[in-house]
Amino acid sequence: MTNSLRALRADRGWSQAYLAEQLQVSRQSVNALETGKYDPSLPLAFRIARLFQLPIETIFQDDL
Amino acid sequence: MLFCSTGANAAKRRYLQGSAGVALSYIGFVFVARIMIDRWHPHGMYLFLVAALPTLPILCFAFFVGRYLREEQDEYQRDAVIRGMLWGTAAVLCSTVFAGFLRSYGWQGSLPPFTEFMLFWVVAGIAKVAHNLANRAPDHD
Repeated sequence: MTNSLRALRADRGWSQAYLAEQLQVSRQSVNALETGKYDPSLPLAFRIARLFQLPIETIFQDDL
Repeated sequence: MLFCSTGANAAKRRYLQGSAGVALSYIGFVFVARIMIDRWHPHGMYLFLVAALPTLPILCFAFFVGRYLREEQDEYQRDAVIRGMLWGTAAVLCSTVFAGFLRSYGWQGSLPPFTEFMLFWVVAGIAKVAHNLANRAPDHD
């Protein structure tokens, strides 16, 4: 799974620390998500989508 | 014990406090069990009871880990802790299988009674540190 989290975050001028705080996760977690080292669970993906006010499939794309 | 990052949340703090208590009581129970065996040479049911003493902190540890996994909101950190413990468990299994195999074929020696628990912690800790280093977030994002 790929994601456009880093680009979306940059668009809004948010830091990783700010995004981590909003999602109530560590900055290491945000970094792992952005670099594709970790795929979020469905609840976390929904939280991210709600925060960016975008549909999940706009943020996360299936590799297929 | 498995957390090397700063700024531990409430779940981590509770887990660390619980783990520290477990580690101390484990050392204490091992020490007490050793003294009891050396002085009174219990056998039969009494030996079983004395030998079960050091397992009590391990049961408490399982409880603290379960509570941490339930309370930790950061699923990535939770995943990292579980991976660390998986490596620790693998190390313990390997050591017991290895020692058991040697004993089956004539080895007369034995590992000290606290080896497995210490091995678990050392390997799980190393795995967590390695994970943190490999997945370090850059200072500037």
